[in-house]
Amino acid sequence: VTLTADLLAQAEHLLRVDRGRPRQASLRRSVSAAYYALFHLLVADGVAELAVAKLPGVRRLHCRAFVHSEMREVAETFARGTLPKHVASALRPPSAGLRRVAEAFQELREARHHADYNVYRRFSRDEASTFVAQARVAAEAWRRLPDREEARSFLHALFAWRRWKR
Amino acid sequence: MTDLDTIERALGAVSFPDFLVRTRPEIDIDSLGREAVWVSLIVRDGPLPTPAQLGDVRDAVRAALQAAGVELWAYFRVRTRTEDRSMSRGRKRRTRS
Repeated sequence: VTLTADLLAQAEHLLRVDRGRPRQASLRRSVSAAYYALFHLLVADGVAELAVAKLPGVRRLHCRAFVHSEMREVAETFARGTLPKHVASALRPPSAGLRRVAEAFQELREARHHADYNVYRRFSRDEASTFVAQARVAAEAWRRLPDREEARSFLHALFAWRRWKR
Repeated sequence: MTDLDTIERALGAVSFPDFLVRTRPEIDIDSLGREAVWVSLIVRDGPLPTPAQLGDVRDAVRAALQAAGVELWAYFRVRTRTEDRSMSRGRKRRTRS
């Protein structure tokens, strides 16, 4: 949670660090930090959910076992609200609150990809600031999701989605 | 394959809030290599809309696209009108040089 808060603070700082016209480098790092704020929040909660918190070595390994592209796949599926049959038979359809968090993750993941790798894509300060705000709101919404069972199921999906297809 | 006209027609039928000056959709490939639609939300100058207001716009766009049978995932870019003009001029300059 501290890392998420620090990354959000860093993302906001980078939005304002340049006087006048902002440097693309600052805006790109800001967008990237916003994505990672949400990413690390979900990973930290996921590791806690997997009940390995008291096994530090395993916890470290699990932190690295979450796969960005797999998490994104899960996020898009939940954001669309229609779960595949094999999952729908086990989980309820995602609530509007969870869909919004998943949508934010999916959008931030794509923005981060462009921020880190696409030199032809330019960000404006306002555009970057909407991504940072989206990450902050999604992190708060995630913590306040009223249905914790749904939230916990989502964390398991983030971790094991592709194995669930077998 | 989805054509841009379908998307523009779908968005043209949506009643958006006043802060949204216009929408500009583009079809492109996302980082997973899939076709997707990017919708630039050009908002009026001044304070940015709140995340909740932008969330409502995103919902409205997604609903309109779904109703039009567009299955592409929609990504969003938010820019003020002045920023958008400024960045468009920059793009043209870079293209010419």
